[in-house]
Amino acid sequence: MTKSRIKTWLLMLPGAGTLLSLVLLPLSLLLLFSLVTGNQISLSGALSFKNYLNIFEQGLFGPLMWKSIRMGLLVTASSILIGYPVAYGLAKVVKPRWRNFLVVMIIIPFFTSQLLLIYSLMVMLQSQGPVMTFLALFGLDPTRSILYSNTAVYLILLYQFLPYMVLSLYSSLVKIDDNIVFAARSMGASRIRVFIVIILPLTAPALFSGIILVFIPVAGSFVESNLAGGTKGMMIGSLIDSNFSVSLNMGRGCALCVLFLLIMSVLTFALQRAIRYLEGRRL
Amino acid sequence: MKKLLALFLVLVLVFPILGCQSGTGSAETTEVEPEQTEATGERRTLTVANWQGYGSDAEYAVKPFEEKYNCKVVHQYFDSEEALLNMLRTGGLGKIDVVLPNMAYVATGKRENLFSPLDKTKLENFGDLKENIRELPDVLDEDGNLLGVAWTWGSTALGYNPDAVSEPINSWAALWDPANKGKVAYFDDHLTAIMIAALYSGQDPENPDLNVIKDVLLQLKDNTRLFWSSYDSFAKPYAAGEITMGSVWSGAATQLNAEGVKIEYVYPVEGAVVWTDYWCIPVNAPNEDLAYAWINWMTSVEFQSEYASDLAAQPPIPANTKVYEVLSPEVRAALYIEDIENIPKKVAF
Repeated sequence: MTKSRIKTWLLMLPGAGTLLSLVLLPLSLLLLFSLVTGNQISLSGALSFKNYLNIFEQGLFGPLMWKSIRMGLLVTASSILIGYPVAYGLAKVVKPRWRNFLVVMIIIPFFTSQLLLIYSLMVMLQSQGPVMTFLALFGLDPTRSILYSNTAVYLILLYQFLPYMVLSLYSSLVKIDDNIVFAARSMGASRIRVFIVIILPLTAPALFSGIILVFIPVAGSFVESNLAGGTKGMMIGSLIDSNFSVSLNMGRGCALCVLFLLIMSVLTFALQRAIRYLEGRRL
Repeated sequence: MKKLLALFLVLVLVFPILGCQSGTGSAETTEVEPEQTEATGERRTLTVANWQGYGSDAEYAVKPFEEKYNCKVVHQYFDSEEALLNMLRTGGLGKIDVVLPNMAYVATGKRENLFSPLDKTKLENFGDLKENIRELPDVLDEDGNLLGVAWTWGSTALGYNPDAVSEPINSWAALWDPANKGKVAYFDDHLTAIMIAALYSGQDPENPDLNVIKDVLLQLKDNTRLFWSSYDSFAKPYAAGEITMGSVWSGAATQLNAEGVKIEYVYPVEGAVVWTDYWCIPVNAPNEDLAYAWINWMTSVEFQSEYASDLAAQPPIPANTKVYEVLSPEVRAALYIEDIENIPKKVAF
């Protein structure tokens, strides 16, 4: 009896240990340090909610958080709108022998470093760069560019995260039996109806993971906005980053992280509920 | 379950204490383990803390010194002045021999007793250092002892593309001028940002009314295209023509011109910001004699002239005035040494 219990514990150890040391422990440390004031991380000082009060007094958190969520929603919505047709084309229209090649083409940008991607896109978008030179053909001033604006940040983020959406939708779409779609069509369902009644519910779990993969990193991003956002590019990630790297106020940085984490968790939970509802409408 | 919980709690309690000893992590140091004393027992290690790529880690800085004093020079890097102080506060004392803080941070370190008073008789080049920076109040302790040796200095002033403006500009007002909307870059450093705004708005840069500064900076924000924080983040958009003017380091202008990108660097009529970096010996430095030797080498004409002439390395202006006689006229012009004495108002830190 006891032997088998020990066995159970031992079997649980790798999984539970990983979870404990890589998820629970860091999270509790984050929570703990968010209660420490200043940059000297130690337990000698008293714990307090000073950091949180300070954040709300400063009044920067709300607008920046809202801006980041908006940017996250915008990029996610765009990637869904572009992602569905692309993934559908890949899974259902393209001949199977071309599929792998095209999927690799989508993955290839990931082989370069993220920072390099950002810099190359900045070169693309900069004044007298390829994009502006092309637009100059239509009478636009090539020395003006949209770089150093929120539009540039949006475009860079969309470029970076679109493949996640496409790939997760593709993996789910490719498994849908063509006959289901044919059957629906032959019974007189319009294309839109087929999408809403069949494809959307069947791909809902993939859509959910795609949204998570795009929305959360985008809302937390700061490198893109710092490099290409200009004077109005700041996002919540930039504020957290500056607390760690510029003003060296680790306690407040941790408190900001905790708040960000809480809000994102609530949003993710709500999203999951919405997706469940979509799935539930499956025939 | 109880055991797991106990283990978890122990870990939670132990980690911060460990973390506490090994520093806060914010001081991004590339720590190289000091080499153990070799078999001969004579080759010592001098630990230098500085910015990466800031002169002292160049081959022509390290090699001659290592050969002359039969020692090894190891660098520890920091990426901000705050990180430098943190490095000393959290375990650096007793390990670091010599460190290069900015003037304002020598003053901060002085209040926390981080630096030892220096013996001027051991400083070979002290007499040749620029007189108006070598003994400023910030680098002297209460008893008048010297805490830091001036090494290099430079300025943050106005840089602009002469082809983009109709006539030469010589006032900070250009950055606020609506005609230049969207063409301005501004240095993203709180001290410099406030000082320049104060110079422009006629406030006392050492003690400005921050409410006025806030309004002035918000006006500037509407005109500004981007905030730059590193050489690259200014040089790239400048070279691409995205921006045509901004507050910029003298060294950045030097390097841009050395790389063939035309930029005019002027000291505006309202004044410019000047900074100086000082070599300090932290208290309990393990190799104080070597640290003195290092400071003497760093301030020598031989080293300073070589560093100043390495224009692509973005050299600042050497503090040893004898160097100016050695430098070629081209280098002197490229470093903007000549007109700096004529700046109407200098704000130093």
